Amino acid sequence: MTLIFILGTIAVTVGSVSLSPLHVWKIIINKSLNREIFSIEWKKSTEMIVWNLRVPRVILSLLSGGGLSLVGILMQALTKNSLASPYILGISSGASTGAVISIVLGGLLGIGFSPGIGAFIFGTLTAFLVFYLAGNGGYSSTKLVLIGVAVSSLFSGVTTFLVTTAKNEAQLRGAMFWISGSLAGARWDSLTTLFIVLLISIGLISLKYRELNILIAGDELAETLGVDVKRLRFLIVMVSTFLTGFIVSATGVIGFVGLVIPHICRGFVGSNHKRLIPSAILLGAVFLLGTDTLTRAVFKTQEIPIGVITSMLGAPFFMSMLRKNSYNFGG
Amino acid sequence: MKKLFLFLLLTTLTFSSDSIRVVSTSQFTTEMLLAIGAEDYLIGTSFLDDEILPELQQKYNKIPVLAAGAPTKELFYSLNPTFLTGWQSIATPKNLGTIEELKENGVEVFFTKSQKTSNIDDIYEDILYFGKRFNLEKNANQVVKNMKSDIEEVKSKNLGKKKIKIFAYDSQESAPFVIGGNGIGNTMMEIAGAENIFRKSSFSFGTGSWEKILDENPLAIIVIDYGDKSYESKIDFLKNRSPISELEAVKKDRFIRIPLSYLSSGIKVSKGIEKISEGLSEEQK
Repeated sequence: MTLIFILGTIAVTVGSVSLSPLHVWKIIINKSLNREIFSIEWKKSTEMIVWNLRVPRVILSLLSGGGLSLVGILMQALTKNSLASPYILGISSGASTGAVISIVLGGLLGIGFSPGIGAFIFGTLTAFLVFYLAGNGGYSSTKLVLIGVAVSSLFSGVTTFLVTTAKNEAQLRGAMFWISGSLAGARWDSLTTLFIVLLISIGLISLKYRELNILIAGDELAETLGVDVKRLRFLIVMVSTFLTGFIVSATGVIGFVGLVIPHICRGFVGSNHKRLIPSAILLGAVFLLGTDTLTRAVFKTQEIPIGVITSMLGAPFFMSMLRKNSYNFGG
Repeated sequence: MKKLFLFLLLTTLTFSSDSIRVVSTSQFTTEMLLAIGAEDYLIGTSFLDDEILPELQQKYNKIPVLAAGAPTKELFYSLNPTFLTGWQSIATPKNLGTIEELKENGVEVFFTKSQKTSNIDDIYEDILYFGKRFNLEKNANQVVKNMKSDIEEVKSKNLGKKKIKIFAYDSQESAPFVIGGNGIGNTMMEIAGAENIFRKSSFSFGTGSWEKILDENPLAIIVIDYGDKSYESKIDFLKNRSPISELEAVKKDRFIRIPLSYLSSGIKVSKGIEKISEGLSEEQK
């Protein structure tokens, strides 16, 4: 918590314009209480930067980092496969296709409907499609991952088609931003829904941590121990689908967080979901916030999509982990 | 008899250089060629960004449009072209082939120097090159002369005046796509008497940040108009949903509409500078 507080303060102070941490907190307190507790000794623009841009961005990075890690844990428990994550299972690429469709169609029909909505609808549909196709005869992990890969390449094909036939540069750039996720679009109005969805998801899943632990040991064992495996699976699919949908609709595709963070946490706290869930959510939140802050500090005037950075950091890390064979799962 | 002879001589002379068959794959080269009167050599165009300069519209209407973007190789060669100009990106293996390949197939390739620089003198040079190549030197000289005098007029008007802070908004909502310091757009803003707040960025067009804009508090905003996202919808976004909706420039509608083609390195640059300067002078009142 302290770490989040400190990191959060740093995150709000750095960027293309550097601000004093003291001002930042004064502004946040003033604004959140909607009263002028501290006299205004800063420029109006500073206030706009802090309150309209950076604070929502910090919150979005915390919410989506935590949320993606939670989805990672859920999917890995469901499939008993350490490769499972919304990224690998094709949900993210389905969502980005949805976003791109709404950009291209929106331009075509002259109506502006939000890429976020497109992403949410397509992400959810893709998730159901993948789980439906893989669900036949128990969620065999290999089957699920293979279907995920197939669905993922199907949708990236569609996305590439749409991008190459896009009518103009602006559409193309808009699409690129969705394919490689970004936190730059953070606005207050979109945060509330995401916050509530995440809170409900965490609540529901925390109640089920024991059952998740048993599920990893195998479906049959779980059933003999009295776990309603079908219902549990349904819950996992629903929670992870909606959560991914909402996150992707706010940020676009941010890869590797859901895959790598749970692994790291297993190394620290073991595989018991009682400790794994909260620690992964916290680490995921801090990781994404840290990465975004670092990116903004390094590339001051230009916006670099965070998805690019997480993939560039996450993939080598994951490879080295696999090579050392130091990951363990469910043990 | 004498008249007939003269007529024959003239027509043969006029059509003797007709062997040059030009394909122009950018609006700015098309406009350069039309402006110097090379329309008879043009057998096809593509990559129209927005409206052709009104006085060239009639000439333009007579030339076949090959494609919205890059024409296919097949279509291109089926026209028997001997000269290619336009966007440099057209001469890539994915489009019409490399420059070497085009040359091997008997196509002379000329890409304007000005599309790579931010220098207005390079535009003059390109126009004069076309003039020479198509034996229309006199026309080309006149076009350059007009551009120069237009720009001089703006410059003398702005002499001694304070530079006005602005930025140019292209598109995008999560992070603004803007004109940076490395391109003709920035040069135009400077001549028009403005200071681009993204002048230190190394791109010509690139992703800027709302933070920077809030911090710099520009006095006016150029809104680049093109494509199917209307000017009105961009203004609506800036005023109602963007993070900069509370800036004075936005609240007081200090927008300067510039169609995209006025910002490409071509004959419209001088008119573009005039437009920006006019927009700014309204702010100065």
